[in-house]
Amino acid sequence: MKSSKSIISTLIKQRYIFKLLVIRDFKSRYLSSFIGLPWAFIQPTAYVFVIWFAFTFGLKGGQTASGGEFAPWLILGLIPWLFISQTMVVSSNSISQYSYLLKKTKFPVGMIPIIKIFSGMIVHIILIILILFVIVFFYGIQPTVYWFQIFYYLFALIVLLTGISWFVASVNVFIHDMAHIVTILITMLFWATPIVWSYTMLTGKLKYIALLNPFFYITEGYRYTFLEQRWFFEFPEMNIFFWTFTLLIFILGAYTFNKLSPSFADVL
Amino acid sequence: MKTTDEIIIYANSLSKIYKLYNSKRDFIKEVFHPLRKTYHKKFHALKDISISLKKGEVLGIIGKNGSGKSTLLKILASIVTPSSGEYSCKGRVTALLELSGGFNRELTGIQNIIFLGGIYGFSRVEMTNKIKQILDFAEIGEYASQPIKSYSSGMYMRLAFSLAIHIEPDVLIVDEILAVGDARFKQKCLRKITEFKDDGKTIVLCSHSMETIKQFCTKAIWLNEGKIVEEGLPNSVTDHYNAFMVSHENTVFIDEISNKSVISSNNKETNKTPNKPTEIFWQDVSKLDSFGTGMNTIKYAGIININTTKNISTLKTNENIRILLHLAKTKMLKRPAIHLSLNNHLGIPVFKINSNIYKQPPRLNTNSETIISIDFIFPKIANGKYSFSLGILSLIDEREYIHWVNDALLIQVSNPDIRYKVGSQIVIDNVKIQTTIV
Repeated sequence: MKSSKSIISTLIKQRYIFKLLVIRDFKSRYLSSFIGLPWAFIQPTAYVFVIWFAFTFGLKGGQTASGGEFAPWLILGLIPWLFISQTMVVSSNSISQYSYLLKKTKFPVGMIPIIKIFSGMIVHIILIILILFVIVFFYGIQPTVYWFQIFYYLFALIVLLTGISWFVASVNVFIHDMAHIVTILITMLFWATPIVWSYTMLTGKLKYIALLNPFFYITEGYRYTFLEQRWFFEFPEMNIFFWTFTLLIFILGAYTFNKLSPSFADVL
Repeated sequence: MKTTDEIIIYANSLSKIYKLYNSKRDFIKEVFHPLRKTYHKKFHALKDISISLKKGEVLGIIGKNGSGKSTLLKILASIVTPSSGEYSCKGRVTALLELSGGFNRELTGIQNIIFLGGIYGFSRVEMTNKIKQILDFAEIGEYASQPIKSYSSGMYMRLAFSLAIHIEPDVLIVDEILAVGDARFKQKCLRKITEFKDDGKTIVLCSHSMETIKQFCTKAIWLNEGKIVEEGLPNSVTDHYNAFMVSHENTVFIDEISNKSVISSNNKETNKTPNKPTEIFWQDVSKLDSFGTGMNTIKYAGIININTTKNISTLKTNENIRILLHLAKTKMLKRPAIHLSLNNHLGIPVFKINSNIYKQPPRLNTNSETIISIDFIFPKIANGKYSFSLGILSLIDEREYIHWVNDALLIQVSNPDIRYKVGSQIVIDNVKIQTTIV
C-alpha cells in the first residue's frame, strides 16, 4: 500500500512531466506514421467490423442478452476490451522503450506504464464519442443520465490497468517471456470472457464465473451505461468481487514494481 | 573559484554489487526458489566509497577500465541504485554519461532538447528561448532538425554536452565524454567547465587524460577494483596512478629462492656478477593477452637494471637492462628460441631480439622451472610509452609459437635530452647541418 502511495504522490508532484510524456507518447504512437492519427480509428473499426461479420454471417451467434441490436452491443463491449488489451501489450515493453530516459536522468520510472494507459486513453475517449454519435444517429438510441456512468468505468479501468501494467512492465524487464505470456493471456481472455458472445449463453456455475470476471465487469458496464440503462451498483456481488480483485492487483503491481525498479538500470 | 563550506555531494560507504548469472534460467530459478537458494556470483563494482564535495569543487576520478568509475558516476546521478550506503546531491544534477542514453533516437535534435528540457523542469517557452544558445554552442548546423539516429557520435556528444550545460545545473557529472569530440570542441568544452568551476558549480568528471585531471580538478580519487586507492591533490594522485599503470599492475613478489636463482642462472649465462637484487617484482602474465600451443609456459616476467639490480619501469638510453622470463616446466622442445619485441604505443615494433639470430639458444628444462635472462643496452629511442612482447618458439620446419605474450611488460622511456622528445622513433646522436651559399 505504501509503495503505491509513493508512486502516486510523485505522479502528482511531477504532473507537468507526466503530461509532457503522455503527449510525447501519444505522438510517437500515432503521429509518426504517414497516415498518422486516423490509424488510431481505422484499426479498431476494422477489428469491430471483422468480428461483427464473423458473428453475423459465419458463426451465426450474433445475439444480445437483452434482444437489442447486435452491432452497437458488440461495439460497446469491444471498444473497452481493445483498450485493455492494447494497454497490456504496450505497457509490457514500456520500460525498455523508455530506457533512454532511465539511462540519462533521475526519472520517476513508475510513471512509464501509466503514461501508456493515458496515451491510449486519449484515443479511447475519442472513440467513445464517435461511437455515441453513431448509435444516436444510426440506431436511434437516446442519451440518458446513465451515460454519466462512463466516468466511473473509466476510473475503474485506470485503477485495474495501472496494477496490471506495473506488474507486467517490471517483470518483463527481467523476464522477457512476460510479453509473450501477455499476448496469450489476451487471446484467452478475449474468447473466454463474454465480450463478443452474450453471457446468457452460459448456464450454472460457468455463468457465475463469467459474472465475476473483472474484464467482463468493464465490458458489460459499458453496455449498462449506453444501452441497457442500468446502474453499476445494481449488482453488489460483481462490485465487491471486482474491487477486491482490482485492489489486490494494484497492490501486487505496486509492490512488484517498487521491488524491481531499483535494478532496472542494471539490466537495461 | 568560489568555494564555500556547503557540502553539495556527499556519499557514505557506497557499495554496488552486481549479481551475475550464468544463464537466464539461473535467474528465474533463484527468483522462484522456495528456500531462497542463490544461483548468482557477486561482483563488487564498488566497495565502501565515501566522498564529500563542497560547492565549487571539481572532483576527478581516475582508474583503469572496469575500476568502477562509471558505476560511481551513475550512482551520483541517481541512475543506478547502490546496494548499500547513502548519498546525496543538492540541486539540479545533469549527467553526461554513456552515449547511448539520453536522446530519443527517432526525434529530431530540437524536439529532444525541448522534451528533455521539460523533464528537467523547464517549460516549452523557456526551452524555446534557450534553444538558440544550445544549438549555437553545439554547432551541429542543419542536423538540429534531423532525427538523432542520423547523428555521428561526435554530433551526439556536442548536442548532449550543450544541453547539459545550458539547463543551469548545480552539479555536472561528466564521464569521459570529451573522448569523441574533435580538438577544437574539446577545448570549448573544457573552457566551459572552467567557467562552471568559477561560477561555483560542483563538477565530477572521470577521464583517462591525466592532463585534464591535473588542469581542471581540485581533488582527485583513484579507484582500483571498486575501492579508493588514493584521494588527494590531482598532481600527486595522477603521478602515483601513472607509476602504477606503467609498472606494478598485476605484479607478484616471488620468494627469495627464485630471486637467488635469477642470479645463479645469470652467472652461468652472462658470466657477470650482478649485485644481489633486493627484491624483484614479477609481472604475472597469466591474465594477459597471449596465445600458443603451450599456453602458460611463460609464468612471470620482469625487467631490472643490471647495475642497481632494481626493478625499473622508466628506462633511459644506454641503461644496462635485463629482461627476465620465468618459465614453467616445458615439454621437450626442438630448437627452442626466445623472442622479444619492443612495440611503441601504436603497436608498431621498434626492435626485435631473437635468440636464434644471436646464436644463443636457451636451455629449457623438462623437469624444473627455468629463468631466462636477456641482457642488452637500451638503444636510442624516443621518449614515450612502449611495451615488450615476449615469446617462446620452437623452430622445427615451421616456427611453432609455444607461448607468446603480448605487451607483457610496459615501460616508459624518459630521457631529459631534448632530442628524445621529437616524437619519432629513433634518435640520431650527431647531425651535421651545413649551409653553403651559392
